Amino acid sequence: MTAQARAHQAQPKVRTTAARALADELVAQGVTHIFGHPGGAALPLYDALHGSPIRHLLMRHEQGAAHAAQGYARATGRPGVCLATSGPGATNLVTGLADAMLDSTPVVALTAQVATSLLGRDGFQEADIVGMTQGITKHNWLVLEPEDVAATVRYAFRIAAMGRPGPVLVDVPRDVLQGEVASEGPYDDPANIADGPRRADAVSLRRAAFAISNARRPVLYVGGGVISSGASAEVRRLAHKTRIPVTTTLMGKGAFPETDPLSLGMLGMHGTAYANWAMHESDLIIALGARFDDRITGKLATFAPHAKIVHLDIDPVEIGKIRKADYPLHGDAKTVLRQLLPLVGAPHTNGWHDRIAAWKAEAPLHYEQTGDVILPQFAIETLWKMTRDRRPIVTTDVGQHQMWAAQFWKCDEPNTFITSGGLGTMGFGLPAAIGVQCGMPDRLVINLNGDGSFQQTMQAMATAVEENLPIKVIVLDNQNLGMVRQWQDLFYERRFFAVELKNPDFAKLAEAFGAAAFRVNRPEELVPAYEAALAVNDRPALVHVRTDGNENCYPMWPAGQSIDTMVVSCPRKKKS
Amino acid sequence: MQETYEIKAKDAPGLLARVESLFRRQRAPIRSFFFEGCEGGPVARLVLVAEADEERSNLLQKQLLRLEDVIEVVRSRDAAAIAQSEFTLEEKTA
Repeated sequence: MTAQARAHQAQPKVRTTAARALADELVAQGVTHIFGHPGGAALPLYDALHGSPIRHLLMRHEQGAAHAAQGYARATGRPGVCLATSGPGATNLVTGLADAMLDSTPVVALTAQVATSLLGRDGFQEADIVGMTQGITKHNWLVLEPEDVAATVRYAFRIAAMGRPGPVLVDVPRDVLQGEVASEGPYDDPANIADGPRRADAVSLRRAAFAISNARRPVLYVGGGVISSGASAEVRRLAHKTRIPVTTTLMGKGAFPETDPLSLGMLGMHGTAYANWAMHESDLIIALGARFDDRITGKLATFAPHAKIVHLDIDPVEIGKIRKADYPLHGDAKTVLRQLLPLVGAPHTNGWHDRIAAWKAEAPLHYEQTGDVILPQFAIETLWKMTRDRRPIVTTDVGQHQMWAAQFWKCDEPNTFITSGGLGTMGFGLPAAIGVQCGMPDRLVINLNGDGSFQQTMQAMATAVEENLPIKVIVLDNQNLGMVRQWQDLFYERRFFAVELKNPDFAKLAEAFGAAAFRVNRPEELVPAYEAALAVNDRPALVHVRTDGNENCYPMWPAGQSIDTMVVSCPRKKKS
Repeated sequence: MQETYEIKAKDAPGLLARVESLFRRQRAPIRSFFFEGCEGGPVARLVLVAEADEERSNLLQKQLLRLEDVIEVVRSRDAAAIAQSEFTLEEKTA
């Protein structure tokens, strides 16, 4: 508990309302920021938050509130909190909660509900948000007794953070918020009620260690679970001790330094060719906090046909869900890797490294910036080179720019690449950057965005300006829904439909919000514009970069197909 | 293939919906179903007979155990156990 929380809690308690008890509980849980939008049913809680030490950010749409809470959680490792009123306020949270569920992000969503006398009677702004979110939360509650409100919220924080993290939702009717409760007793420190990390059993560990030590073509396949567990240092130690090459998923970016010679970069549909070839030829895949998503495996029947699988995960549901685990390890990644490290020896992998080096030489990530039209890869890599020494935290949105960012934005530390992985939610990036900047006020926060995705939640810019958040928003404007266009290009015989965007002037738009804004139309204008944006410290800065609308993202393989269908680079460019 | 799932869980609001939702998403149709609160406590017992192959059934068991309110899941593919479950259901609901 923070000193501020203790001071707030130490104030004399009398009989109070459930809303005030809830607000006190949030302080006790160490909440520093709430991302929310008020409304009628939520007013008792907003009134209770008046004068609270918690900073409330007034988001302009509840989807943005949920994404901001995700950004906060992913950057800090602590649960993010979003708040909405009943009915449409609550339903607007749904996309963000589904996103948090698929990406295992600890988010506590608080929703107000209509008064209990109206429940089930189609009252104004009534929606069964508990029913709607049952499948996209770890757990949720409709609290009907004022005395249960604070305790339920306390429990909700525990559930969100323990084991495999995820979102929870607490729905409280307006009259319950207004109900009187006895003053609360001593608060439990959340650190004292959290479960201890889970260890793997000794027999499974010895079997996995033997398999690793005797592999010939092993690959470490590292996912977001490693970052959630805080196990990046252990992965580094394991890789360096065994000299096993490492590939990361989109969610695992940063779990292992991508500038390390052992790194294969990201794998999967738009991953590096050499990471995918290594997985295909591997005789032992060591999956750490990863879940064999279909964007990784492609056609499952032909995925990694020669490989045995070591699968370590905190969630037993994931082990064997998609691919049978020959060596299952159920436990917390950090804890289990610490158990495993003394048991493993370095396998004989010299020939394997030679083969991988040849693949890296044969098919590196590649683009050619020539002429006056800016390639998005060039815009991304230029900014990465300019800022890498400042340890920026980057958020992305979803689409082509996200995949190019995954390829060309090299991450060397965890919690610095924050993106929507499982759900692929357009509109994630800008509000997530707001959450990140709140949680990490001293870090450089960059949002890489696309023109289509920026327009899904761009109203969050008003909040960023209001709060003087110095986030840098890079809008890569190719005047298209680029990834959809790419699929129409490659798989629908170039019948382009519903993908072309007649965009506003994003720089003027940003200025209208009160942000600093810069325009880039030619390659040589990039660096000066980035420099100017990086120099802005008192408000957001947006850089509107016009990019090539015809550029496609490679490597790529078609959804559900095997790796031998992978197209490493643009076939049309090769022909020319 | 039919299988019986005997589930011990906290008797909390939404429990039935959460359990049913998992079977629906796994395309494992529920053929019969029984629910009772246990004597003197907040623990409920659910007995379901559903159609699921071995792989889906394994996954369902793990997903059921992941639910916050579920305490224990016992599965049986034994025909006698299924018949006994159905007999119990008929007896209880008669």
